[in-house]
Amino acid sequence: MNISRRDFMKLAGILAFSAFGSPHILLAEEKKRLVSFPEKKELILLTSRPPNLETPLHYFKELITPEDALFVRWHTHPVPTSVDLRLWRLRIGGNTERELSLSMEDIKKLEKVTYTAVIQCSGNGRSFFEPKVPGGQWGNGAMGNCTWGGVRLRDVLNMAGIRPGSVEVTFDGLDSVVMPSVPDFIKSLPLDKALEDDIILAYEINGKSLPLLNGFPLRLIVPGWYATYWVKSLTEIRVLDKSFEAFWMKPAYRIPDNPCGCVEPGTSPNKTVPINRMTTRSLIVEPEDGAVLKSGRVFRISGIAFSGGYSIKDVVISVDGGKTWHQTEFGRDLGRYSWVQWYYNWRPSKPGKYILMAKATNSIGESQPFESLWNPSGYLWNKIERVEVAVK
Amino acid sequence: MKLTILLILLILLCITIVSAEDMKTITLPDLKIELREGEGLNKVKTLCNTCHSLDYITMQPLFSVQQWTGIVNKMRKVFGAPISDIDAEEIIKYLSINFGR
Repeated sequence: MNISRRDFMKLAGILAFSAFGSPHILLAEEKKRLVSFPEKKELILLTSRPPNLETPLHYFKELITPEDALFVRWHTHPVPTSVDLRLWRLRIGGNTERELSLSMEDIKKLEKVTYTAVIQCSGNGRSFFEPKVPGGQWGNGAMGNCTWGGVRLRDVLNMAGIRPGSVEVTFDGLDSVVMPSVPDFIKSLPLDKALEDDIILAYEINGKSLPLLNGFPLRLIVPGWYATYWVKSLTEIRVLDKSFEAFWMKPAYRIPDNPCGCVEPGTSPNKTVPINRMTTRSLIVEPEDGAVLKSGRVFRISGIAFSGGYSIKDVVISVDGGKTWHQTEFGRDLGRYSWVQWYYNWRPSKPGKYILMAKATNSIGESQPFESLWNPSGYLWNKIERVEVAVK
Repeated sequence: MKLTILLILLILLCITIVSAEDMKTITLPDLKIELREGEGLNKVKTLCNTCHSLDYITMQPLFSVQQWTGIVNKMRKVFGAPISDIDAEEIIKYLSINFGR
């Protein structure tokens, strides 16, 4: 058996803790606890109030993530648990010609737009950061690939009439706070971003109404950008003539203002900007880490890859820890916001331990780093993952 | 004839009103989190638990006293948690002993 020093320390730690029944190991197990929430399949529990639930990896074998398996992420308690569409309205106002109050029926009269897009939490992969950072300790399951149906935000804004001098648009949902001092979750987009063709207000996910925990009845979709902007259970859109700098835009959800969005591990950035477009990443879905394969047989290595709104140009795979790389084949193309499924048929001839790695590159040359790029909030995770398998 | 049409309309209206698409209500599960006994646990159970479930604590990696101090202070100063200096000290002590490194 070939184990690194770090693995040995980890193992030794586990043995030591097990021997003395430390609570930390029980807690580690608890981190993988599967729970059932309404309208959702069994998901990995991060927190229960407000609910934060992660999608188990096996769902990523599918091109489209079932809506009931999609991750759940809320910021403040209480979250909406009941919506009556006869009473629900979307209010649009601020620096506009008129104030609107639209029912779902009004919204559905506008032209419908449908496309598939990856939704990914800014902190997806945070638990892999070293040194560790506070926040939701997501593995790779705070993402999914779903088909969204709705109306263009631009059409709704134009109905209200954007007045000259407008610079940003804010979005508020039905989630609330227990006391006034807790900042309500409100996000903003620059006006030019908000007016883009593909920004929609979705009332459908995979052809159905949204689960309440994923933003019923209407959620903002900003394809290519991290899900922090995809405000759930929308109730109010406001056009502003100045920059919006409340808590969830500043200081929260910001990245270092440099090309890598990273700083020296353990340090703080001098200047930050709001997080925005997703980095390019790939994930090996099969085989899983620790799998045992048979030598001489063909094994289909498969996974997914996506980037922040630019098509994936290629995904290469290594079965020797990054020494040599092979081109993979792609599955069905659902457009630049969707993930692609990739495959590589591998026939390991010799028994032993193998390190598999996948690296994606998008159409503008953005790729993935071999070493993780660190930032204090644990965002933008896209390090080339390593999956260790044994061939027997 | 008129009455029949009226009746049909009324039935249709009722169907629309009770349509599942119009109304969605869920009940969230109340999951219990047992934290290790220790000095300050009661403060954690009452004060931290006001805004979030206690799995927010168990989910975190093991942190140093400085890191827990930073987190508790963020809860107080940024999120406005009404926690006094004395209570905060007790909470930080509990977290650092039971979830420290």
